[in-house]
Amino acid sequence: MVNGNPALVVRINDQIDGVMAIRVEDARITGLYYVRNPEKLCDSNPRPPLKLR
Amino acid sequence: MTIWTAGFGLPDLAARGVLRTDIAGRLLTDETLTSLDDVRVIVGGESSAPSDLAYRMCAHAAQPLGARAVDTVLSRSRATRPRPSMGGSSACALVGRRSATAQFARQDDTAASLTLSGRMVALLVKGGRHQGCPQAACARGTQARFAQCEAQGRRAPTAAAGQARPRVGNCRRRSLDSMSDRTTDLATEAFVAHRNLLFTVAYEMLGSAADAEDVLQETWLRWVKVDLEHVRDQRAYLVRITTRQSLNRLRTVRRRREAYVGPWLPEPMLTAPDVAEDAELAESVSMAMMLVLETLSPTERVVFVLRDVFDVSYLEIAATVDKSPAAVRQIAHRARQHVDARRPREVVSSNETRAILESFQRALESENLRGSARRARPGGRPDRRRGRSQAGCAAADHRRREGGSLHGRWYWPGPRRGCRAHRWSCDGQRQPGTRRTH
Repeated sequence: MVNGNPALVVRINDQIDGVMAIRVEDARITGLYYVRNPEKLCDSNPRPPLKLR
Repeated sequence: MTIWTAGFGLPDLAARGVLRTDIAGRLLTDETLTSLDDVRVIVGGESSAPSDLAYRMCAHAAQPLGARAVDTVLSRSRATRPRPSMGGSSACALVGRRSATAQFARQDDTAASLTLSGRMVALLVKGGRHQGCPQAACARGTQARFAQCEAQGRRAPTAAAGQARPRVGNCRRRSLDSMSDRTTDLATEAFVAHRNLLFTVAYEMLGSAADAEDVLQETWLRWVKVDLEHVRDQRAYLVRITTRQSLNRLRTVRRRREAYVGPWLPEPMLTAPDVAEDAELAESVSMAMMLVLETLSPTERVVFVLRDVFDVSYLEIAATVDKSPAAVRQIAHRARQHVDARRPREVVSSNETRAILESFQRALESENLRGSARRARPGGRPDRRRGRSQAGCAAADHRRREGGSLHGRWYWPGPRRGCRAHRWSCDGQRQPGTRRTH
């Protein structure tokens, strides 16, 4: 789960290459978001759980 | 003699042997930094816990400790009695890019009434301590802020901080009066109770978990200075501080993101499945929605997020952003129109997304993009317009709409061009999976 939605983690030779999230409309994929910036992928610290209230 | 670097705790093998450690894995020692279990083992630095009280993690504490450990070794080799640890840091620094504050402390690590600040201090501290230290860049001042918190006699709250209470200097109890200790504890309790909410507010506004954590640190530093007796609604007050800090940071990062190489995407954050069960929350933090929020101006974003996601009243938002309630209503209206024109048309359930994603993944792995293209356009042939699949077209359209927010590109050359192999290209370079076919 990435940002509350299922997403793909792309690995190349067992190295994480990026995280791919999709945008879905009318049961179709209408957008692909592929994050490859290593600074944004090192989720080393446990983040607090998200909460609206 | 063997010198061994061990990091913040004892190596696992040693800890499982005869040497006793504290809960965090630091070696228990006496005040001469000698292990309680074996006089031949002497520890310097942060992996020691003299009298079961750990030192806080900072270079200023580590350096004199190293010297003290060497002193103990020398005393023993001369068969003299080693002196107990003096500990003690002399200065804690809050380092920024252009300015820094250094707080001087006594030997027992209570704060002295001397601080230095300004550009010169930044140069001195950076030059002396942080130069070439990658951790300093990574920590983005967070460590320094912790140091400052502690120099002021406060404990910075984190998820993990509850276990080992950081103690300082020569392990004597700090001479804070109990009154201010209690007030700080009340403030800490309130902050911890709302921490997850505040983090979510900051993340929705900034699209970056690292920035959100920095904002939380700044919020905490402001919160502990607030007189709690005058706060009617602690939650609203905390949200207000967080919002203002986020707004400031949003304005700064906007400028930075203009120079970002490639299209800027939010920092993906691993979330637990329970977030997916909360459809409203899952939608509001989805990649698509975060990108839409990115197209708003800082004030619009703040107003929209507070009003439409967190359900904060217009009156409260007006007070937070220093505008009249009427103006805030107008901004919210404009922002809502802007977002509605760009957000995904429907809220898709987590299961549906998963099914589509799995089909897409299977297609990628088998390189059967034709099937995927069907998925992208149900009920028929892939659109062969200009050799691109429907999804490719939609992605391209979307990219045009979003001003270049799409990272990957999808080509499906189609049989008419005589291409048998389907091509998948991310940033024009690499293949997903281990296969590489161009």
